[in-house]
Amino acid sequence: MNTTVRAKTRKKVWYYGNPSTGSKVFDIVNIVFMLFLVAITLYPFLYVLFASLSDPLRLFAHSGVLLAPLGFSLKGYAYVFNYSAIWNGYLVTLFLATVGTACNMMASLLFAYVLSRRGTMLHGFFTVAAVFTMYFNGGMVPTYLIVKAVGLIDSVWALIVPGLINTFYVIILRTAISGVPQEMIESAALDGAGELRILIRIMIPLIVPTIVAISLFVMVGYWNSWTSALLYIQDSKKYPLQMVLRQILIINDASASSGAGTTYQTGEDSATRMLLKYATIIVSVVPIICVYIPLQKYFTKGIMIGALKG
Amino acid sequence: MKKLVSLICALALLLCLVPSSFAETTSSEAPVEITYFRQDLARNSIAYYSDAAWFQELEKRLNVKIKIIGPASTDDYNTAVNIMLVSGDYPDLLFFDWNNYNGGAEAGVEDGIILPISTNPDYKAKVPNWFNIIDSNENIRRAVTLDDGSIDFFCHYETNIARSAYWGYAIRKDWLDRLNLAVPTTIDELYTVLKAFKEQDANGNGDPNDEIPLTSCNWWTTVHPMMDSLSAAFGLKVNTMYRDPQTGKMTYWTEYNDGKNFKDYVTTMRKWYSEGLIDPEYVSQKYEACSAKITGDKAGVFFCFPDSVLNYKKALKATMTEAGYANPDDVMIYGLVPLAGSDGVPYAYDADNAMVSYAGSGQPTVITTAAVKHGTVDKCLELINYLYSDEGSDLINWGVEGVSYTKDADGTKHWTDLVTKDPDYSMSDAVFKYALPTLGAWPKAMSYEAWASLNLIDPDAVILHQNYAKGDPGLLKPTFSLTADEAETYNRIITDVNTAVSEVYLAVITGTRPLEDLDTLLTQVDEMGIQEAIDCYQTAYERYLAK
Repeated sequence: MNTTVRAKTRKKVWYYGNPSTGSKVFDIVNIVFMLFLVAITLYPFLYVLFASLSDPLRLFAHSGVLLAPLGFSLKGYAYVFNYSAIWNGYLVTLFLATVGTACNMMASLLFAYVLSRRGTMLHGFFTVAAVFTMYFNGGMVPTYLIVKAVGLIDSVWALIVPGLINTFYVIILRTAISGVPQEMIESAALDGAGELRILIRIMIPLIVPTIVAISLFVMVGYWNSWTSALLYIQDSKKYPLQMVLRQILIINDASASSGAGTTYQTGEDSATRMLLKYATIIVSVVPIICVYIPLQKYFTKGIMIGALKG
Repeated sequence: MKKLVSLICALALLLCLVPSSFAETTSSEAPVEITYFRQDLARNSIAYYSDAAWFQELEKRLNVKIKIIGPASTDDYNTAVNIMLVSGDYPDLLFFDWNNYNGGAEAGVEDGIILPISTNPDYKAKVPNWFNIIDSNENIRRAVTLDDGSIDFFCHYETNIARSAYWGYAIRKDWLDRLNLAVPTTIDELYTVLKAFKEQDANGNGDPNDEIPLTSCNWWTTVHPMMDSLSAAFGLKVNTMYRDPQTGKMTYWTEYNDGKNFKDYVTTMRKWYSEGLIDPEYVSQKYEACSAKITGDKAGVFFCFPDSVLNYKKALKATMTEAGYANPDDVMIYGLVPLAGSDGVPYAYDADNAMVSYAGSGQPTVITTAAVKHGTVDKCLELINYLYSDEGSDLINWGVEGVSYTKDADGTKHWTDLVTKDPDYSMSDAVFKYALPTLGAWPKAMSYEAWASLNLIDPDAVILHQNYAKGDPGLLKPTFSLTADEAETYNRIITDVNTAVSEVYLAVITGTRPLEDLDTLLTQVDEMGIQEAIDCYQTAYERYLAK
């Protein structure tokens, strides 16, 4: 509440009096420039959208800019619906985005809370140990061997457990938690609350914006990840969406087809393949955009809180 | 704190429980499970082998459950295989190009990954079909025998080598007809034709300037299929070791004929480029962009696979109908017999050397030593033997009889309506739901009939295929492998050489560097030790010939 009031008063100061000519010119230039930025960021996405709605044969024969779909056909989406790998991929990715994000946030919060309490045993050691992992890691093969030794190879949990804690997010969370006055913790303790209760009942409600922002980061991270699947997952039915997408995008690139596996003689309909590619990109991008829109109000707020009070 | 610990423990237990529910439960009379590390199907119409009709039938007939593991895209695949090999946890069957393994397949055997087959009479006796084929065909035997004389892997083989004539370039015959030109057979004739395409209104749309006489794309940094193919007319193959047609020895394109032909090729292309006969975007543009020019009725000469003909023509007809042409059906994509160069021989250019590859030794499947441990060796051998049998061959190439194909009294096979009249997909896509006619990379016989029934549907494709087959395979080398030492020397030298050469020759063609740079390049390549790299290949080639 307090913050919104402050924001309003600040707004009034900003618009106080008549803006000077210089400021008007700046506004116009600024708006034009920003619109230009919007256009160039948005266009690739629109291009893919238009292409995915185009008629395959006309799309195949088209080169250059697309300003509207060439003809109109939902064939691309029909192909996507027929392609079982995409649906398997969806299930895995949804699992990662929900269960994975939940596990990740739970672990990070617990860790951040411990790191935020200065009096705890070996506090300094754990802080250094956590920061250490930001700069150094074991490398791909040792990590793989550990994952294998724990028996997680070819399990969806291999996509979650090795990266369960992201130190950077833990530090942002820790800063947010440290921003809560020490007295609140003390008074809660006086009322008989244990550490877990303090964390759940006091801390979490107070830092919701930070948590939402970080969750979104984590979720987008899971949504876009494919490298860990490449390393740890063998059964292609357990691939997340991005890995499936990657395969659709590059497998039948003529450039990828010489060496192992496919011969040049694939006998495949390239117009169909093209449409399938574009439609798959749309199908895989739209859900995460839908998550962004309602959550974006927390976004800057959450990050700012962590940053300013640190 | 205790609560927290117990909570974490409980959660950890819970986490452990979930993945096990992903695993299928197996009953007692269950089929033998074989793990097969290979790329999955991933076609437009079907994602997994396990959904394909022939695959399910195969599992049923042999009472086996084949579990396919591994990513589908090539780059990812090699990474995944290497990680798997490091981990020591092998599948029963492994598909892998052993040229990507240090020391090749021999090293794979020595390192205890590949299970030796031919030296073990027990195993050998269980795959009679494969060894009968090898004994009956000298070319196949050479292709699959390792340097030490053993045969430890299984791959597809050609029942009719004519299938392999798929690399080449085509010309728009309707453009030629419109301008009253004859089909070019030499580099000079092609020059005249391209010049005419450039100056006149070859596509007949009223604009004499929108034609791109010759286009090419960039498959990866060093491969520009159309442009590379032209080098064969100069007795060259781009950035690779190849067979010197005069001496029959291995050579490199800057070294062949003391670099005269190399200079000749680059100079000619430079001239064509400066006259606007070659697509100015050819160095970097991707396959899609290039295809769009072809199907947009803009390109006259271009690289073309037999199976692309149908797609190109469909799209071209759509473009031309839309542009209001009177007779869009006149479109004709005419495959050229490789152009004859100075010595009059139409050398075929073929980056895969497919015309001399009687067996897919670069795409082999091996049984790993883990199969012994898992007790699945016999089943693996049975599976492979079956795939090579006539019955198995029909299954993998044509699918299930009565479902995807029917057989006439004289044995000719025809696809059913399921394949030819699929409501969503074209025939070439739909077929993958039932069979694997056009794809090798399995232990199988490549059926020429099955392949032709899909690739040579269009009459233009038939002519194109016949003309490609007229190419002389003089430049092509069979597939053979280097020893670990040779490979190390060779790779050390060739990587730098290829980079240096590509950098210069492309820049000279496009005119950003002067012609004189070629001489500097030739000396530079010599200094980089190209002769040593050629020697490595020559030794390996001699070993191959001695097999």
